[in-house]
Amino acid sequence: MLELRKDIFADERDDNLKEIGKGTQRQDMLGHVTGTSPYFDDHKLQGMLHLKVVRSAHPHARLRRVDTSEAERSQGVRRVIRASDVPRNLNTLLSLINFGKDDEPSLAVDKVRYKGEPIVAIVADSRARPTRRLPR
Amino acid sequence: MAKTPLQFRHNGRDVAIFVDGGTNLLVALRELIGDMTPKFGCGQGGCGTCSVLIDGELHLSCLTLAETVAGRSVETLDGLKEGPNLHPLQRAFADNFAAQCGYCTPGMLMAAKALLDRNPQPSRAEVVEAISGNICRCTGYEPIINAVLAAASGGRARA
Amino acid sequence: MPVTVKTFTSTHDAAAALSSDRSARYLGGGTLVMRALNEGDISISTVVRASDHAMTRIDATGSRITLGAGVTFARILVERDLAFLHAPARSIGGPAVRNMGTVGGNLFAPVPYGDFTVAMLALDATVSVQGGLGGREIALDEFLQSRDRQTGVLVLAISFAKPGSAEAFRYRKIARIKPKGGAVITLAAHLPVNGSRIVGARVALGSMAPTPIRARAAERALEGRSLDASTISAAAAAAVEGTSPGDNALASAWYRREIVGVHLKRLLSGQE
Ligand SMILES: Cc1cc2nc3c(=O)[nH]c(=O)nc-3n(C[C@H](O)[C@H](O)[C@H](O)COP(=O)(O)OP(=O)(O)OC[C@H]3O[C@@H](n4cnc5c(N)ncnc54)[C@H](O)[C@@H]3O)c2cc1C
Ligand code: FES
Ligand code: FES
Repeated sequence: MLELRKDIFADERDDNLKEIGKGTQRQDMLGHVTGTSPYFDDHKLQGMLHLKVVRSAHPHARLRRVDTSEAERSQGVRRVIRASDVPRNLNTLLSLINFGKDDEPSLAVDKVRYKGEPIVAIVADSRARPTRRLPR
Repeated sequence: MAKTPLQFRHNGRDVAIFVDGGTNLLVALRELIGDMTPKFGCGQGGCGTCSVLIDGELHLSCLTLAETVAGRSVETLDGLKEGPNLHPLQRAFADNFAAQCGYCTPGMLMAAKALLDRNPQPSRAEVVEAISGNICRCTGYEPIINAVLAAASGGRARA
Repeated sequence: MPVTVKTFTSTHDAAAALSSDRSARYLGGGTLVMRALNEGDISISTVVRASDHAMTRIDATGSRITLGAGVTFARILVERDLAFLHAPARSIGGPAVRNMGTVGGNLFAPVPYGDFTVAMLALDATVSVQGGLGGREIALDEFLQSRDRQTGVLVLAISFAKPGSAEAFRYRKIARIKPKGGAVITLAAHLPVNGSRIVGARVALGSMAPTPIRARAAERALEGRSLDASTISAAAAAAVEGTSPGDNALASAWYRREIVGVHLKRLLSGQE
């Protein structure tokens, strides 16, 4: 027989466990309505960098040339990540289940196949405007 | 490039910061003033979670050039509480389950405040219109609409 | 890369700053300019503002109405004398976008935006612009045709004659998301009537070409006629003539061509 450890949640609910028939406020609600619930974007870490993805403006197009020179020269840009830097995409459903075939690159190689497909990723000191260069 | 000094009223308090040219108000509030209540959703005007009141009017802080609020009054969710007490809208949102993940809530509350400040007894259609620039991916909007109506009628939760 | 923000009290100086620098962009309400900056658009390096009150003036007392380029849609919505423009103003964005977006910025808004400009085009509006060399008045129709080359000018105001009667001006925006959303298409018509005949018909369409355009064939089908069923059918059939809509996520060019006549018919016959 499972022993009910009422002491564990003692400060969060009545000891009598009579919950049915009355409303229960969610624990995170106060944070939500006061804007104090922390989200991913609210973290400020020491030395935190920001990554911005440059995406295709075209539904289907050949990538003849990706010119990142301007981005690389921009103030505050630490690194420009190109497709060749991430040859294997470890994060597709197929690769996660070890399907073997991996035909969805993290960053587009040679060709973009949908509008919004990632082409390069720019790592910078701040989110404020990493530069954008659209390929043809 | 030199930064520009900027002074404005933030939830009733005068603040002075230095901004880079082109900085939007959302970045200024979050990164320079440390008010994390307006959220970044899209930076494109599409989601409304960055909504703030500027001189009492609803604006999207992500599309507001920070320098344009010089000398003006900016209100965010951080200023909504009345001392230690929740604002009636906050109370109504909590009572009506008008937040699930809560990410849209700051913008929804500011949009609702902008409405009730002008129109204390809105119709349902007016509430829908007032939050039409705010996207909520969780609640399906009904609890939010009910919460705003409940706050307007001064009533507590409707079941 | 931060941009330089320059604020001028005189429109003349603002115009000079715009015309002398290709990478300068005027900031109206900023709903489109800030989007571009947030995305890291490197073609903009200077943002120009003008604080002259003339930019935000509304003159709606007489028969000719003038709206300063910096007038927001929210301001139009509280102006009784501009009741006929409430439908187009209300059809734009959510409330925050209406508090921010301006009449002047709307002239430059790309598809699927530019709804207010469609209304202005049907009212045969005139745009006052200030260039580096001086000011001039230009018909909106002509302004839109050369819009790509209008960078570097400052729009001061837009003016038009007030429609003679409330029914003479009609507006309809087709959107998938209500009460907000980008237009599938937008239609506006101005049909002044003399006796029982339409004189000076104007029909304007949005999202049927890269900029709002006049549906001249439909206008011809209306001109000099009375607004009866056969006139309406003829105008609806001609609506698609001269259009060049594009595909976007809201609708395909084919769909836009298919529905433009249907909606013009509904607009003209006063159907909901
Ligand atoms: C969420 C969202 C929803 C929207 N919904 C709609 C909609 O339903 N319908 C619609 O039509 N639009 C819509 N828009 C687009 C836009 O808000 C409007 O078209 C608005 O009118 C643009 O005006 P603005 O003053 O904000 O433009 P700005 O961003 O300030 O300017 C836009 C362009 O016009 C130029 N410009 C502005 N004013 C002048 C001037 N006086 N002289 C010379 N150039 C000038 C700028 O340099 C810039 O190139 C929407 C935008 C957003 C973000
Ligand atoms: S972050 Fe401003 S509207 Fe989405
Ligand atoms: S509560 Fe999650 S987006 Fe609205």
